Amino acid sequence: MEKTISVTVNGRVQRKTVPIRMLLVDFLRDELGLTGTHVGCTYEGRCGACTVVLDGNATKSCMVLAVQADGHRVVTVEGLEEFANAPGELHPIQNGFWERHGLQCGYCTPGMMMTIFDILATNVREGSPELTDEAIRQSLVGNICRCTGYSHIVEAVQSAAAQLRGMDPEERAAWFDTAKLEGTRS
Amino acid sequence: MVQLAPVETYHAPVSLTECLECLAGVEDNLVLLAGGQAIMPLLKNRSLRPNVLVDLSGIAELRRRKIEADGTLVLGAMRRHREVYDDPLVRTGWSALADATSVIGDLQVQNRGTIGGNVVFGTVLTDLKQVAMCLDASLRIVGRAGNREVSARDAFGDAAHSLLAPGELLESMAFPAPPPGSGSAYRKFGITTNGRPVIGVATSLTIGADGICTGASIVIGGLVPAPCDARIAAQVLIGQSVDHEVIAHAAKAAAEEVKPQSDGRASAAYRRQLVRAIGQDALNDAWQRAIGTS
Repeated sequence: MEKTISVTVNGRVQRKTVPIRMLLVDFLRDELGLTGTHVGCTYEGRCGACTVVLDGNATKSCMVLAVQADGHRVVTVEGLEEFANAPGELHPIQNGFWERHGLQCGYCTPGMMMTIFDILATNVREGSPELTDEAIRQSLVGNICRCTGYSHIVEAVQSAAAQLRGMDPEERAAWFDTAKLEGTRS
Repeated sequence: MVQLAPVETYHAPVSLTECLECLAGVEDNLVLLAGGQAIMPLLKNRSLRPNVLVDLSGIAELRRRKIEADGTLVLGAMRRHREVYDDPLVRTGWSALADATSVIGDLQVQNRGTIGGNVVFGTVLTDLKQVAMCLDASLRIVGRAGNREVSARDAFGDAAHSLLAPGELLESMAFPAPPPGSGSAYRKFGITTNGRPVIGVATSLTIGADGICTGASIVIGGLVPAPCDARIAAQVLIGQSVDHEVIAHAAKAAAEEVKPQSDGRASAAYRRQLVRAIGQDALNDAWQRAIGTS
């Protein structure tokens, strides 16, 4: 009925005994108190607000069991600030949302940011080519914003991508290097 | 909070052998988790209440991707959709497969969902069955009683065919090398973007240097009880010098050949319209790709 798991969340190893049926989203919110990961729909996997980055890939944390994350790496919205070099410095994704007014009520924002983390990490790996608005919209199909603020969210992604393009390749990659996160926090 | 019914045991085998052992004896109250993106909602609403969950994601053998000596592409059943369409070789050689995997659900689903899960999961309304049929794929099935191969056309074209016996697993899918001068494509229409196909059309064309079509396959999904291999429509293309007009004619023939159902998502008449419209686009894509490679 229960299993002891060890999950690296935002660079910290979290060892807990949890029920097999516990969803990853509930593990993050209720066991670890990381309430930045939201539940927008009734756990049907429709809204994307609970999206986290699991082993580098945007994943809906209500569609995965906590036991399935055993031995894996999870980054939540709280993890974004950990990539910064100085306290108070924003991740380019956060900065993009700030610059382009990418959030209104903010409920979908954590999920949006973590899907965008995957999109931009991929973009950086490919050498930061220009992203089309259409490609960004296509990648965000699984994240619903009921304020319907999509235009500003797309602009926020473009803003973040442009910031990254202005950096040298090493600096760019560092914003998505989850292994670095573990180095600073162990 | 929404929770699954209590689960007694969770197995995460790391090899096929270990996995088949897990399946022994508890078949009737066991759920296999591939990507979990289609089955998790059924666990959460308690339509399924398994005692045992077996997670296949730790089995490296099921994640493999290999090109055999004769050019056949072998993809492990646990290959994730995004791994498939991100693969340049799949995109050029087996374009219909890349097209289809890139429109199954959203990015998060594509990151997690698997090709094996898509075809094994118990609904006819999936995308990859028609693609596997169109590309003449064969399925490798493993079990404690032994291994066997079955063609996708036999397995998915006949609704009475049950793919897996208790204790069996889909291990991989093999896609034969496309003949020179061929191209394939997939298009679909869902109620929501990238939703389950109301209609999904997989096409494959082989065009000779003289522009004459020497091979054609059109397989239509979204139909109950099984995808339709539209052989009459394919015959419209074979032997013809392909152009937009011939393609329009073949798409019309496909719309006449299918026997669509009416349900809450679309009427039979609308489904025929979709077959015609989407079929035409999918044939055009396959044709352009075939010309590009010939």
